[in-house]
Amino acid sequence: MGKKKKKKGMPQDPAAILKKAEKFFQKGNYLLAGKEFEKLGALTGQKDLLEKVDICNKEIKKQNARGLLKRARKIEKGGNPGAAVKCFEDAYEVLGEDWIRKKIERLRNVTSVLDARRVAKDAEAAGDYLKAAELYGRAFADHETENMGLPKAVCLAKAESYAEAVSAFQNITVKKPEHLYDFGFSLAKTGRYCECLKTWEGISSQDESFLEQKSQVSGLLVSDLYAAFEKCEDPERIYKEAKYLMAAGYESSELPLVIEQSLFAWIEVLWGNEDYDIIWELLRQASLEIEPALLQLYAKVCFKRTEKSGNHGEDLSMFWLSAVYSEDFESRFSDDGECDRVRKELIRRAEDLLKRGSQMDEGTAEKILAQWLLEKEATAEIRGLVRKRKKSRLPVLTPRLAEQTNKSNELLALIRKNRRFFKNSEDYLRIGCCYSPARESFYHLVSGEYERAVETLTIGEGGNEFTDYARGRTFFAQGLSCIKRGAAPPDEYPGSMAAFFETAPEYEKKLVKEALDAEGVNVLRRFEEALTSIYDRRPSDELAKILSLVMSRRAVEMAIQKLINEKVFSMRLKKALEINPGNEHARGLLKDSESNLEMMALEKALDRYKMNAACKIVVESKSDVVREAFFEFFGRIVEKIEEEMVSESEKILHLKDIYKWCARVDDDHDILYDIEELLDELEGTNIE
Amino acid sequence: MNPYKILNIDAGAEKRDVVQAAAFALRQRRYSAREVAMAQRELLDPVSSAAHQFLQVADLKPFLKKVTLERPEAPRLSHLKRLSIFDEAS
Repeated sequence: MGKKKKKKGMPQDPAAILKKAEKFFQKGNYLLAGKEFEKLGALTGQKDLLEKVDICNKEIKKQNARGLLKRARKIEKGGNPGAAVKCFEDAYEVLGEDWIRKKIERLRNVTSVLDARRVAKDAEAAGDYLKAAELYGRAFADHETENMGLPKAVCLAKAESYAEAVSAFQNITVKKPEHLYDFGFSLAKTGRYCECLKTWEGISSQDESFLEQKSQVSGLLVSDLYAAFEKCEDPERIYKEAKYLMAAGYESSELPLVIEQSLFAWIEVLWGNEDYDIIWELLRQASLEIEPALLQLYAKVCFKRTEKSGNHGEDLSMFWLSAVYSEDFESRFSDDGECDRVRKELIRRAEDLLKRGSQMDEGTAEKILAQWLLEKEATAEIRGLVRKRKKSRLPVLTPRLAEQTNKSNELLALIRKNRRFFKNSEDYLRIGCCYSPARESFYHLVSGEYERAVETLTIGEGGNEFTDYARGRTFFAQGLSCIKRGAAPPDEYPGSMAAFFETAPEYEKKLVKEALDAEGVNVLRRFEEALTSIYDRRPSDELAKILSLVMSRRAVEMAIQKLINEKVFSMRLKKALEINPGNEHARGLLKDSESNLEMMALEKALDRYKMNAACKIVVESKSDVVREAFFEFFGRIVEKIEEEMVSESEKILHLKDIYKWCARVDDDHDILYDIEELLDELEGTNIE
Repeated sequence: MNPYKILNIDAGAEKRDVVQAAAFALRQRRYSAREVAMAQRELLDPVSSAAHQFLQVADLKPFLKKVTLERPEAPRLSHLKRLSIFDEAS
């Protein structure tokens, strides 16, 4: 296609030029539109066209400015904020938009930072670290973000301004080894050796010179700690830093002594400040051998902690009793009586504290108190035993503390050796149990945590009386608890009880008492089942009596609730009497029951007119009620015959039958005389 | 309750000192009259007083020994020179 040739030199139509200009204007091509408007203006001389030309020129400038913005962004992205600022400034001059102004400000800031940093870097490169640090500081003064101050801190360290370097580093998160090194080095140079070593922990370098320097700092730390220790300065710092050194593997024969001594010195300070929780933590961490004097400190700290917080009762009972029964405690007094009185007072105070147990929930407080009572008893017994056996140099310890200090076996041996010391077998077994491997389970038991007691039961070696005792007590309590709830006791219950009652017969009595107090069909049923199983294995008189009674009581409850009929009721009573013929309760009930049964049978026989059967029941019955019912029945019949029957011969016939039946039961009963009288009357009339 | 703290006296103070301290504490009014009276009563009773002596005093003197340490030879701090090995890394 050939291009249309422009007709040169030809005058153009103004309307066509206007149309063309407006078309360009609308399409946003202000350059061409402006030219067309100018051309038209020249042709027509219209002044208003000049305004249109102005508009076009303005739009052209705006378009150019937008182009500048694009360029500015590109330059900024290219990392030249200085050049970008110039473009943004030119664009802002035309567009005047607020965001461009803000952008320019921001970029100017960045540029100034970069400039300052450049200068600072130059100073650093020239080795003028102090100046570089100052410049870095100035550069970042207004733009502090994370790690902006890092170059400053590094320069300060290099400039040997260590104190300033430390404070600069402290405001920064230091991660890189080179920075960690400078931070640590600055700390060391300011005498903070331990902090230096801790900071350097983040450096994995195995460089020999670095390892050597670490060792030098450790040496400086030791020297510093020893100097502080000799001057009795800040025991907390000495303790913590010496412990750190030990943990870091520093070898010194004297360091453990410094740690121990500074610990005691620090505890003294803490005691004065009433910081008992910290003392407690320190004592527990220190894993010091609990010697008698230290035991008292443990006990006092426990008391103070419980007093302050209303908590930690378990620790208190463990240490308190051991402390007040210790030889060291007794040595404070010249008079035994005074010692006992003070001990009693101290025990009372601790017990009051446990009873208050403000911060403990009810269950925990009860549990701790139950354990306290057991430990109180056990420790007092051990005290008596140790005092009696003067040769024994064993310390008097609560069961738990004995366990913690590995003294349980020795104390247990002492208990075994002195069985006769105890009031009875039960006391011997109970105290022995506290110091035996069954202790944990036994403690749960006395706290009423039966499930936990069963879970923690240790499998005793054959013939271990304490373990067996704990086992027996646990199953006894758990079984009883189940029975009283109306639930089935564990399978092991009857078997373990039979054996347990052999060694601890008082628990048989306890079971009997509980069974006597039992109420409700379900509970009585569980008691009956359990007692039956135990009785099968251990047929004692006590068990026979209570089993029989429980059986008769249960039968009554069931009969009242109509769960069994008279016949079953009677059968159950007979069974109860078989086990214990002396069960008066069952006997009396059986008598009534049998009478009821006979009454029922009598009524049935009379209803069916089975007089021979009725007579047999009454003859065989021992019940007066049955007998009276029989004669009352015939008494009523006689009256009816007398009043209602018309035929005298029929009257005679019936009365004779009645006479015969009654005479079969009792040939001297009053009714017979009445009938005879009637018959005489009737027969006399008949003869007449 | 720490009667020694309330009466501002040391453990083992004589009865006369306790009474005087109680009178002073009442005048000072740092503690209530009831607290002061109770503290006095506790310390005048021989059993309670002995109980408090046990309870309120942590005597650590038996543990604090006179220790003479052999100081190891430590480097001088001035000999500690900044290592440049980490500069290369940066």
